[in-house]
Amino acid sequence: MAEKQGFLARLFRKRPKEPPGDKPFFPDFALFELLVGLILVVLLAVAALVWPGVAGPAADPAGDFEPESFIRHGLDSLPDWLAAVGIGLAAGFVLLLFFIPRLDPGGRRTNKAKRVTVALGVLFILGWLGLYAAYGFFAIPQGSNNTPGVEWGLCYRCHGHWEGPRSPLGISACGAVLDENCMACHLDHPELVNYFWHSQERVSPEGDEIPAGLFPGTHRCSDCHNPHAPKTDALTPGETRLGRMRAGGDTYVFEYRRTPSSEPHPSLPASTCYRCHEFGFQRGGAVEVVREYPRCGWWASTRRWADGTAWSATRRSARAGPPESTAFSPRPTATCTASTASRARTAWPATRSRSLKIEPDAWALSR
Amino acid sequence: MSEATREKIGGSRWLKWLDERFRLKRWVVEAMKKPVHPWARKWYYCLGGLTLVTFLVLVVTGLILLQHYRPTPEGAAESIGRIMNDVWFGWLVRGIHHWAANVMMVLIVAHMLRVFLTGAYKKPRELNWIAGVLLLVTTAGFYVSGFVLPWDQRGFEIASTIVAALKKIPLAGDLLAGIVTSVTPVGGEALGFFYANHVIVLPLVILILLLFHFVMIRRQGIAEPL
Repeated sequence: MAEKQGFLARLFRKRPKEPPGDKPFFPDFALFELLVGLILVVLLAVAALVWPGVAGPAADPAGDFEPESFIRHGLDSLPDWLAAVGIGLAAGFVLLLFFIPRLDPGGRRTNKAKRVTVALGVLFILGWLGLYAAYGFFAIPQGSNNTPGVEWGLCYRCHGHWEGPRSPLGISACGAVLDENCMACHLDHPELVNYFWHSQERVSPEGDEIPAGLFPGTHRCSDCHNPHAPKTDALTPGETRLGRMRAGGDTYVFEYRRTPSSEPHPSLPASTCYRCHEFGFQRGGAVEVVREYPRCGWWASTRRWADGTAWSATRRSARAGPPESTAFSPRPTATCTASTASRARTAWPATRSRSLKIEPDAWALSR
Repeated sequence: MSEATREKIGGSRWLKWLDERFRLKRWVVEAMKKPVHPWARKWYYCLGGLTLVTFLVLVVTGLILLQHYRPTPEGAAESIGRIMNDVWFGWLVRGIHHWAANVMMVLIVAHMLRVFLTGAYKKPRELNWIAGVLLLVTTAGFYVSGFVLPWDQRGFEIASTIVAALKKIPLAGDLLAGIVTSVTPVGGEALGFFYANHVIVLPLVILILLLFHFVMIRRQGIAEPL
């Protein structure tokens, strides 16, 4: 036992530390560096095994330009003078590095040196933050969807989900959001946004898919709503396109865009919309369409799903004649009231993912 | 290493053969025996050496990739695809090249931060600091041009971005952009520019700078901590 205690005591006794002294470069230091270097090489190989580099297809200079990073988008968005200032600051920072020994002379680090360190760090951080701020200010179209009081802290709720170019802060570089981000929360009110009417792929009598596509194709939620506004004021007349349509009437040209950043559809005057819809159509759904075109009420009652079933039991029972209690009946009302909007909401089918089969005669009517 | 081993190595007839011709024994022995101070054996003093390791990895893998790469707008992406799919372990070599480039950028910045925070740029090491900054700039040049070389959409857009940024510079913008490419928008000339710099110009520059950097470290030693 005494021997064991002696053994353990010897094993765990605190050995006196050797005073640190110089050691030859080889083998002590060189082998240590070699070991660390080999570990690094192994880590590189493992990284390459797990995440091999990807190879994209050949560049298409004539193709759609998608900014690789916010830098390119920033260069396009910022005014020339500000971009030149930014480039100058970046080059100036590198130039400053050359002069650090001159800025901080002396044998040891002094208080002046610490001030230089702090100044450089602050300059670097402020430079980057300033660049982001300028980018954010100029990259987001001014006057359209910018509203004071925006909940900045919530940007990432929508912008962070988009798989596209984005700033290092996680905000998409194009300032655009896929419509699914809106509809993900608002699908419980499809009639309010005419989602059903305009986003379904309809089937023509010949069996062709007719892309209607209000939201996925030609319109975005932000055409009428301000996604940057506070939640209680998402519809901001005067700020959105809808507001400008109301103010401009026929003279307002509605810019159709198939995607947020490319391929603009030929512009159409707003009057092409309100041949069928009144302004504010998003409130009452198809009610206004029916009012302008009474036969649409009957037409609506003949619509069927692709599998042959009617829209709903209410409309199936009303197929013999125009129903009086649905929103699709010809009604002589002059204005869209809360009650009609409410009926439209309750009468709208809950299923939205099926294609709509249009009868041949109805198709002729619709044309 | 024991004295006996040292003597055995020193007495090697191969080394004697070499020394008879190059007369390097005294210099090599002096370099190997140069004492390393205790403060220089901390982990954050290894960052410069690790940067060199990644550079050597990049040289080796880059030379392998060079055998299969085609620096033309039509053939670049296709040759990269061939490296990834057909060349024996080409995907691994390219992956290591890719990761080593990223790690080298991180290490070189970390190394500069260590030098800056420990005040190792002070007299008499000012010139070595300047060489280090030039090495940083050269490495950044390698890094950016390397992204352009595959000439996929990302590489093309990076080249376009560089040209767009150069054009924003007042007065000299068009001249600088013209050095990169003589046509607008960016075409094959830009790829040739980045290729020539990546495999010829920048390697020569970095070799000269590295030689200067290491010779100065050898002559001046590693700076004492503050």
